[in-house]
Amino acid sequence: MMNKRMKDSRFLVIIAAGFMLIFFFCFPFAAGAEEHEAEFMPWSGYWWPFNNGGLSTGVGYRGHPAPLEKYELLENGTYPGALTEWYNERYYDPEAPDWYGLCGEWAMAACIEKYEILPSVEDGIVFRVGDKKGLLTMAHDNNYIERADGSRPEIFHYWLLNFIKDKGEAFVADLSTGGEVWCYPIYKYVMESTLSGNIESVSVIISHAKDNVPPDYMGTESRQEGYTYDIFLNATGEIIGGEWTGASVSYHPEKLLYPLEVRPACPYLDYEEVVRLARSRDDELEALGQVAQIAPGTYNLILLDGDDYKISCLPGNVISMGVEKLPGSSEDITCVVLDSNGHEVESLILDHQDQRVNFVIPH
Amino acid sequence: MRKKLMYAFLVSICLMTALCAGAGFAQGRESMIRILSEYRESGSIPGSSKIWEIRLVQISEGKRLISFYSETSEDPLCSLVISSSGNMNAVAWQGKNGRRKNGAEGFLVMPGYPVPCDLVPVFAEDNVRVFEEKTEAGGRVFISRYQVSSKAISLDEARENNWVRGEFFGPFDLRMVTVVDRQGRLVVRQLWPLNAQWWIYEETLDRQSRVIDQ
Repeated sequence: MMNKRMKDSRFLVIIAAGFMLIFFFCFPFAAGAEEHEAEFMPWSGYWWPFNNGGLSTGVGYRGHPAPLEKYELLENGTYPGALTEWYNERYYDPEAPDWYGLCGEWAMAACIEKYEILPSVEDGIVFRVGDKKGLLTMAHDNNYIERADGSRPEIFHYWLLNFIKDKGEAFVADLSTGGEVWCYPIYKYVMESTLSGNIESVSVIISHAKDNVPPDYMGTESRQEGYTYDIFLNATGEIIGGEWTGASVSYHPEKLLYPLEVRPACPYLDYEEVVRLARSRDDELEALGQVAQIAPGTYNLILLDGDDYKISCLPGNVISMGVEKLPGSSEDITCVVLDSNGHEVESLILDHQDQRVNFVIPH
Repeated sequence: MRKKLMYAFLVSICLMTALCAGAGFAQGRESMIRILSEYRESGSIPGSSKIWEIRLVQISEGKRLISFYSETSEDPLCSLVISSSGNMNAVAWQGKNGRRKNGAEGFLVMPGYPVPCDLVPVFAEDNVRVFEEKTEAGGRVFISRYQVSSKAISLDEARENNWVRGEFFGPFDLRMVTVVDRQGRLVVRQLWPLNAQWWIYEETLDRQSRVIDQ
């Protein structure tokens, strides 16, 4: 026989269980928040539109010699040659739609080529950051690529977790909905989710490197995009599907790409040589010591740190010096010209990007 | 008599050696298939074609290794190990950088992977089966469900659809195995001669592949 007290407590347990069930199904609660970033932040770069053919024409960049022409000049002593001809045949098309270009190739290079890209001089040829990034972009135009359908949120979710969280690797995504393709390397995400029954509602902000920077830009200019989606779970919490929600229904990633092996399509471009060139920095005079003695002539020099040069002049000689501060160059550049007695003849400070100064010193 | 005995002994040694060598050869024998894959144009990326070498080798009783090489690479881009025990065909896939994936019952698909390395079970009868695949990432389990159907195909039908070239003259017992995902979208379809060691035509959303040399 059950007494009243026991009946009451059983009744209370049933009410509590019912309340818990109602709470579980009706009120979403936080399933968690997480933030993960790839070990290497992909660099920003230019997407080299086909209608400019900038890699061989220099249009949109610095004219001639264009990046591919500089490579030919270094390797063959002359340009234009087979490499630029090959590029013009395959990519240069003045009639191409505005959005056609090498954004996917740049994005893959930015994920895979994990080193700082700085200007350098070889055989008197200045390889600027834009030259190097352009050559690297070309070297990634025939990669073996793993692809996935990023328009399915559960697949996008899997790639964020698999590449960025588990492997610490960035991956490439076409973030443009519609016919155009705009690929970017995604390297970071901040994710929050709430659980309601068997639906997990996810809100994610991803960070990617931008491609509309000047070709010589150094480092990473980042941009964020936000997406929301629901992922569907089975009874044991495993993910079985998903759908975009809110504004992400019409604006969400499309293709996802990850390069498995680097292969340039062009037979005249050697990947190992491009990487060697891209990794080189500064100029040949760096190794000569603290003060480099230079003879009269024309020099293309790179200032990555403090450099001192000494030049012997005769009365009537003229020293002409051009100094340029490239985009992405963060520190001010100070140039001081001293005479043989150590007296200052001329000095200048370049304190904003893309600043060029030419000065002439009659001796 | 002594000479005859010696001769018989030498002959038996030679025979034993030949048999052992033959058995070893049968087990380790490698066969190679060359595949031409044509990749579709995607956005501004032009279409392209690649030739793959598929090397098949029996590594032990009931165990086969299938390795996929590009024309230019000395290392395989990925490989499959198929272990047969009874009716169960366990499949282990390994890619570059140590990436792994396991399949069962002769089924393992790699949607979006550039190498034509999907493996499907070829049913002798027209049949439809569902396979479920579990993958882990970030501490979560993702389940993919695939429907696999097998259908007999006549040589004329294969020719009409350009799955085989006009010069193809058999074998004639062909089966088309089609894999679709939960939403009914094509994952892969492969045209297999029954009891063959590899397909002769394959198609995914990104590429079409066919055997060019066997």
